[in-house]
Amino acid sequence: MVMELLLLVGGILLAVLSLVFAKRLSRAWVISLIAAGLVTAMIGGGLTAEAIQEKREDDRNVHIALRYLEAGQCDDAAHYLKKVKNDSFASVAAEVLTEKLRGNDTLSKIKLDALEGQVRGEAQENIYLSLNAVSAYDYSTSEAAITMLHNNLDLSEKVVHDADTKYVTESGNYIEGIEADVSSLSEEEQRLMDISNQSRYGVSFGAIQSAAQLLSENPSADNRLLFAKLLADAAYNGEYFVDGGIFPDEAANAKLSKEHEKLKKELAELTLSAEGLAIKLEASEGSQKEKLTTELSSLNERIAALRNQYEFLYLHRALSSISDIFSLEAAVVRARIYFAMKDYDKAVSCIEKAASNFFIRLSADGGVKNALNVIRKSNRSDDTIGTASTEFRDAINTVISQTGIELAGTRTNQLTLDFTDYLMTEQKEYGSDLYITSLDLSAFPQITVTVAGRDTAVEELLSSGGNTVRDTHYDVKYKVRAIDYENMQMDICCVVDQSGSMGGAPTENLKRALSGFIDAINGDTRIGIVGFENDYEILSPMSENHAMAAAAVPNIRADGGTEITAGIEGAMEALTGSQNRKTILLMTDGQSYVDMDTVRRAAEMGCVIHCIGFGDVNDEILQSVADATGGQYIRAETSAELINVYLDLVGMIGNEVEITYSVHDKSLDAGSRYVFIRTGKTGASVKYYYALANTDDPTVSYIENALITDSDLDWANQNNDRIWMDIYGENLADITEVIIGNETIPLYNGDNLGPNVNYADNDRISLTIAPNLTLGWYAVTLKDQDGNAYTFENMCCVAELLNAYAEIKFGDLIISMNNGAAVLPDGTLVLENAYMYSGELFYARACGLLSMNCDKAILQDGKQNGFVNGITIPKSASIQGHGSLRLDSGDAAFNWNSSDIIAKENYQIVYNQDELRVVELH
Amino acid sequence: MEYVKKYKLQIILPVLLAVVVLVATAMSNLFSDNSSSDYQCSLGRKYLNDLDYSGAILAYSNAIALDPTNTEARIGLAKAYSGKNEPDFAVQILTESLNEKKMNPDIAEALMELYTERGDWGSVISILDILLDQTDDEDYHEMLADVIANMYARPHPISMGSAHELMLKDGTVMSRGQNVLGQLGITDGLGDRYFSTDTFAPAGFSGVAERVFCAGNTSYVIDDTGKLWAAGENRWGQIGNSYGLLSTASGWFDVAGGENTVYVCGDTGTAYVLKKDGTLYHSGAYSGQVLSVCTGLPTISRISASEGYVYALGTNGVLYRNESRTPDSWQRLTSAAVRVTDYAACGSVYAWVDSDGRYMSMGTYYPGNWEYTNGGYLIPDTRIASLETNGNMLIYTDLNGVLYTADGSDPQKIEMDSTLVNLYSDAGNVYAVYESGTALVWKKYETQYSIAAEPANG
Repeated sequence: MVMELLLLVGGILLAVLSLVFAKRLSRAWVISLIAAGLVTAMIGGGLTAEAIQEKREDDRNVHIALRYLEAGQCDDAAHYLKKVKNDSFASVAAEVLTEKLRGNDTLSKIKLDALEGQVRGEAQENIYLSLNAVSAYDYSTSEAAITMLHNNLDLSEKVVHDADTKYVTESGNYIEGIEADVSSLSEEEQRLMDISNQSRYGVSFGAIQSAAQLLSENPSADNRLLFAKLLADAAYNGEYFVDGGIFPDEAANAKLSKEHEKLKKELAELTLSAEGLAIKLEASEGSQKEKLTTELSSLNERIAALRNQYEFLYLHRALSSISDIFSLEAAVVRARIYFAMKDYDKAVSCIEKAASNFFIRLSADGGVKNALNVIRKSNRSDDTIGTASTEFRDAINTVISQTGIELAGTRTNQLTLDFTDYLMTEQKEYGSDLYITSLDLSAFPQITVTVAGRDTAVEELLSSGGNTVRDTHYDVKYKVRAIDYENMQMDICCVVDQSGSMGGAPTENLKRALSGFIDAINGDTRIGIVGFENDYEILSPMSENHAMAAAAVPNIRADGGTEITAGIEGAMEALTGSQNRKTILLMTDGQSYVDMDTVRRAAEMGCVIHCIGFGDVNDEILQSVADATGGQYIRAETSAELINVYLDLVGMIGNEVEITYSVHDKSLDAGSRYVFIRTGKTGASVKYYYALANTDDPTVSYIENALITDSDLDWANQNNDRIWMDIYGENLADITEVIIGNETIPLYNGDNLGPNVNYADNDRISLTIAPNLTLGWYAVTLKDQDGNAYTFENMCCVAELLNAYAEIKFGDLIISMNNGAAVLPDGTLVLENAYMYSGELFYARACGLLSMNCDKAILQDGKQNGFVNGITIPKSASIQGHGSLRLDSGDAAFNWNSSDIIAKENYQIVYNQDELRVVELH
Repeated sequence: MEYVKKYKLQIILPVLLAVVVLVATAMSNLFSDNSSSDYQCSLGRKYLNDLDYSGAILAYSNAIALDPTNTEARIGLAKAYSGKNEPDFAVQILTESLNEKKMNPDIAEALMELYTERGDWGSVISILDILLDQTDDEDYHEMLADVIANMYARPHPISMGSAHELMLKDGTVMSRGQNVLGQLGITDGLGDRYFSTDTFAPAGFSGVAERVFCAGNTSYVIDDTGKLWAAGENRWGQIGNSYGLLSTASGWFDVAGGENTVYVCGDTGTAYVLKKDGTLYHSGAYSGQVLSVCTGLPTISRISASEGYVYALGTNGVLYRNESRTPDSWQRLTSAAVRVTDYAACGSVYAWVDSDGRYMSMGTYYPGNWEYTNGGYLIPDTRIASLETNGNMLIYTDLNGVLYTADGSDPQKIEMDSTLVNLYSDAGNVYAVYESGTALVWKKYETQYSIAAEPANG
C-alpha cells in the first residue's frame, strides 16, 4: 500500500505546488500540472482505496475463519483463509492455528516459524507464545489464542457484526446476540440457504427436491450444476431415487421409473445369457472355445455398461443436463458425477482436461488458477515432488470444490474427501515399473533375463532405442523380444482377507477396488475370488464370466482370524487343472505364519503371487512369498489406496519380455554381479544382483571306506557280496545316480531306495558297489534328476593291502598308518582316515584318503617287515589328500563352534621352507 | 486544432503521466506478484542470503503453498531450517517430499548434504543406493565408495580375539594375551600353550596402522594405504594367501587381494573382508584359501560377526545373516520394504533401526520407556545414529553423539569429557571410543563397562 499512498500524496503535492508556483508558470502549465497532479492523486487514491478494501476484506475473512475455528470446523476456516490475498500477522497466525487443529504438525510448525519474524510488539508476542502452546487437535488450548487474534484484527463493530451475521446465516452456528438474517435475501437466495442447511444435516433428498424446485423456477447454468452436484453427492453416499421421485413434475418421475424398470429387465436377461454362455464355454474346445470366449467377452462388456446405466440412471441424466455448459465448474461437476459412478478414469480425465484448458485457467481467479496450474504441472511431469503433501491436497481440494454456487453446507462432504484422496493417490504409482522374474545363467557369459512390469515400461523396452542394459558396471548390447502368450489364457485368482480387522472402511474400499479391477481386466481373462480368515472359501470360481465375480464382491465379509496359508491353498484349489497362465493376487492387512512349502507348491504349479499389504502386515513374509513365485509385493499405506493398487496391477499382469546379452569381457572376473535395465523415456528401472556359483551344487566331503583293498575284493567275490561305501557331503538330496568305475548305481526304484542303496539323504548316501574293480584311482560321479553330472576325482582307490601300523614322518609332521594302508602298483602309498600331528599344537585327521610317493625300497621293506623303521618322506615331496582334512579337538586352533574342516576334496600338504602348509587344489 | 498544437506539451503531460503511472503499477504487480511461486522463491533466496531465516521460511512456504511441486522451494525451506540449527526438521521437510520410486536428484543431493553434516551415514547410503538402483551412474558408485570409506575412517583402535587383544596406541600396534599361534605378531611365547602376557607390547607391525581387528586367533591390521595384513592362526587359510598354515609362525603377512579393505570380522577359521567399494569377501572355513567374493549379495555397508553368526547390511537397506557359515548362503532378515540404516547383533540376537527411525528388537534389550507400534516396532525417544549390543545391553548413540545404554529399564546416559568418535562391536564386545583416546568396553554379556587398561589412541 506504500506505493499507492505515495502516488496519492505525490499527486496532491504536485497540484498544490503548481498553485504555489502559479505566478512563475504560464497558465497553461499550471493547469496542466494541476491536472497531472489530480490524475496521479486519483489513481493513487483509487489504488489506496482498493488496497484498504482488500485489507478489510482479508481481515473479515480471517475473522470468519476464526469463528469457524471456534466451532471446530477447520476445513471451513481453511476455505476462508484461502481467500486472503495478502498475508498479515493475523492471517498467518490463523493458518498456524488451523493446521495445528487439523493435526498437520509439519505445516503448522513452518507457519509458526514464519510468524516469528513478523512479531511486532507485546500483543503479537503474546499471540505467538499462545500459539506455540496449542497442541495438535486440542481445541481447548486454542481458545485463548483465538480470542487474542480477534482483538488483534482491530475491526470496527459494524464490520464484525456484518461478518458474524454472514457466518451465522451460512453456517447455522450460534453467536450470542447475532441472528441469522435472511430478510435481505431474495427468494432464490433463501431457497439456496435451505438447500445448504438440508445438505449440512444430511437431508439429501430434501436438498435435491429443493434444488429441483429451484431448477424449475430458474433453469440457469448454476442451478443445473447445483442440481447435478447434489445428485452426485447423494449417489456417492449410496442413496438412490428410483421410486422416490425427485422432480416436482410427476410425469418426469414416472418416465424415469419406467426407464429404470426396463433397464433392470434387460440386465437380468443378459446376465442369464452370460451364465449360459459360460457353461457352454467350460465344456468347449479349440475354435469353438475361441469363438465363445470372444462372444462372452463382448457380452460381459455390454453387461458392465448396462449395469452402470441401471445403477446410475439419474447420474447419466444429470450428465446430459449439463453437457452444454463449458466452464471449470461444469468440468468439476462432471468429474464428481463420474467419480460417484466409479468411473475413476473419466473422473480424473475431466479434472486433468480442465487444468490443461487455457481458457479455463485464464478465467479462474488467483487461488483457483494456482491450484489448476499445480494439477497441470504434476500431470505433465514424471517428477512427483510434493504430490503427497498437504499443500497439494489443498490445491486439489480447491479445484474439486469449484462447483458453481458456493453453499457452506455442501462445501465439504464425503465425495469431496474421497475424490481428493483418490486424486492424491493417483499421483502415486504402486508396484515396480519393472521387475525381473527369472535369470538364466546356464549359457554364461550369455545371460537371458525375463523382465515383467507395467505395460508402458515393457512396451518401451520393446521399442527401438534409448534403453539401457548394463551388467556389473558395463553397458552391454542386447536383444529383446516379447514373450508370446497368445495361445494361453490368463487366470487371475483374487485372494482377499476376510478377517475381523478388515471390518468397516477396509472391506468397503476392498470391494470398490475389486469391482474396479474386474471391470478393467481384459475380457478373455478368467477371474475367481477366494476369501480367507481361519480357512478359505471360494466366493467365485474361475470363470470368463466376469459378472459372476462382480456379483460375488458384495458377499465379501470381515469376520475371523488371518490364515494366509489357507488363502493360498484356496487359490491353488480354484486354479487346479488350469493350463493357463496363473496369477494370484493376495491381499491382507494382517500377520500370520505362512507355510513356505505351500508357496513352493504354488510356484511349482506355475502361479505367480503378487502380494498386497496394508496396515499391520508382516512385510518380510509377504515379500518372501512374492519373491518365491516371481511376483511383487506392494505396500499400501491405507485401504483407500487399494483402488489404485488394483488398477495399477491391471497394467502389470501378463507383460513380459526376454532380454539376452553377453557380459562384457572386463566384468567377467567381477565379484558382486548385477544386471541393470532402464527405459530411455520414462526412466523405469530395475537392478538385480545374481550369483554365478550355484550354491546348491552337491559336494562330497569324504567317503567312508574309500580305500578298497585287494583283500576286500577277494572276500566280496568269494562271498558273492558287494562292497559298502558311505558318501558324505552336502546337497545330495536331488542325486539319483552314483557312478563309480563302470558301475552306475541308481539310488531309487520308484519311491523306494534302489537295490544297492541302504540310505540316501541330503548329507549321506550309503551304498554298495560291485567288487569288479581293478587297482587304481576312481572318481565318483553324482547325477541329479535333471541329468547334471558332478565328478569328484580320486575319491576312492583300489590298492594292495599293507598290514602296517608304523608312522610316517614328513618333516615335523607325523602321520599314523593305523587306520588302513595300501599300495598301488606305481608305488603310491595310500592311507585311509589317517591321524596326524605336528609338535604339540597341530592335530588333524584326513577323512578319506591320503596318498604319497614312497621309495620302492621302503615299500618293499614295509611289505616284508611292516615298516619297522618307519617312513620318512622328504620335505621336497608332497602328500595328496582326497576327502577332507579335519582338525582334532587336541589342536591348538580347534573350536567347538567352528568348522573342523580345513581342506576338502583334493588337497596337498606341502613344506614351503620351514612352514607346513595345506593347499586346496581346484 | 491550433489550440491543441499550441499547448500540446501541456496536454500530453497529464495524459502521459497517467499512462506511465498505470503501466508502472501494472509492471510492479507483474514482477512482484505475490501469487507467483517463482517470485516467492526469489524472495526466499534473498532472505537466505541475508540470513533472515524467518523471512525465508515464510517466503518458501508461500512458494510451496502456491506450487507444491516446486523443488527449489522445498530445498530452500530445508536450508532455512538448517540455518536455524534445526537439521532434523530440515531432513523431515525433504524426506516428506521424496519419492523413492523416482528420486529427484536435487532433493537427493540436498538430503545427502544434511545427512552427511550430522554423520548419518546409513541414511546417506540409503539415498545413494536408491539413486544407483534408478541410474547405475558410475559417479554414484564412486560416491558410495567414498561414503563407505568415510564411515570407516573413524578410529578402530581395540579388538579382542579368542585369547588375545590388539590395541593401536600412538600409531603402534600393541598386543597382549596368548601367542601360541602367533596371534600377537611376535615370537615371544610362540607355540607355548601356557604363555600369556597381561601387558600390551609392540606387536612388531612395521607399517603405518590405521585400524586393528581380531577374528578368533588371527590378528588383522589395515594400514594407511588400505592394505590388509594378518598375523596368527591360519589353519583354514582365512588369511587368504592360497594355503592354510599348519605350523606356527610369527610376523605379519601381506594378505593377497587385501587392497582397499575397510573392515574385517570373523570367528575362528573365518574371515570376512569388506572393501571400500562395498564388496564383501570371505575366506577360510567353508570358503577357501583365497579371498573370494560373497556372491549373491548387493553392495554391503557394514559387517559384524559373533558366535558363529555373520551379519551384513546391504546398501539396499536389507539386513542379511549367514548362520550356516556357508559364505554364499545368506538369509535375508528384513524385507526390501523396510530400509534398515543400522543394526546391533550378538550371536543370534539382533535389532535394527530403519529410515523412519523405528526400532525392531529380535531378542535384544531396549529401554523400557520406548513405545510400541502396531507393527511390533518400537519408537525410540530419540533418533538413533548407531547401535550395538553385547548380548545383554543395548548401547546406542543419538544424532548429537550422546551415548546411552539400556537393559530394559530407562536409558542411561554415559557422559564423558570428550567427544565420542566411534561405537563398534567385535565378536560381541562393544567399544565406545572417544576423541581423547579413552575407550569404554562392554564385554560380551556383561552389564558394566570397563575402561581399557591404557587409553587407546586412534
